[in-house]
Amino acid sequence: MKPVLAADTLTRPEEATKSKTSLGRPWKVIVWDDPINLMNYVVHVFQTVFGMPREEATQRMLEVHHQGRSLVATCDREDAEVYVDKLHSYGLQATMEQVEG
Amino acid sequence: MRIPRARWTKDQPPRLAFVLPTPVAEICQALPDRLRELLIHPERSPQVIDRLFPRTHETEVDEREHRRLLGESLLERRRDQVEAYAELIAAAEPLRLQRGLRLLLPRASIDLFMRVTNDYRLLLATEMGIEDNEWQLDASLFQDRQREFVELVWLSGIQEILLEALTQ
Repeated sequence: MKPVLAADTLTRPEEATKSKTSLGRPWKVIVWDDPINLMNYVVHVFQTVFGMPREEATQRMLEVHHQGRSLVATCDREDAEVYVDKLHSYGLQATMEQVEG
Repeated sequence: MRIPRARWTKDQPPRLAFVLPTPVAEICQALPDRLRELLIHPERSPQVIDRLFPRTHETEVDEREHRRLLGESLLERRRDQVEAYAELIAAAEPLRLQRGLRLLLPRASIDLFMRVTNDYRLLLATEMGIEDNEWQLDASLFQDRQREFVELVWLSGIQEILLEALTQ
């Protein structure tokens, strides 16, 4: 369920703007490298969770492997939580963070 | 010992016939109990639990709220997966002369089988303290964890075979 702002958080214009801006900014889903998950397994997970074609999934996996991390999705908070939850359920290390304003 | 092999049957829909030699079959049969123990008593293995249920959020406040809302359901879902895996293993046919087990996996079950196998791989790796991508290259690093090392290597092989089968 999407978060609902309580009425008292909008009493001051600058806070309303900050809150609106904060809520409006999308979220990044980041996958982190780890020494245990097999490369082919990570490709499979990206294909399964994100519906990526194999080539794109392989590219992202190699990014994780060589650079330590890869940005795999940018979306709203709720979707980001679902993605991270699914990635965790496959044993991948993933986090979400809000895009900077 | 023979390398496990897998092939698609001619049934409709096809199933993956997967032969596990005895030592590997024994690992797969014991695996549910190890994971059950972990998931029923998560407080006994905090490091492993942290690896199976890593952080979602960067900030402590968001993370605490996330765990408060979802914590128990995440554990419950993992437990359900372990039970489904156990049913697949229990349905496997023992081969003659104790040569192993023959699994018949519907395509839809392969993903679950791999996920639970992977959970156990993560358990082993965490207990062994593996932090290096090249861990497979030097078995001597794990002299006091030989059994776990062998299990981890074999289960990695199982996953590769299943992933290969999924591309066919």
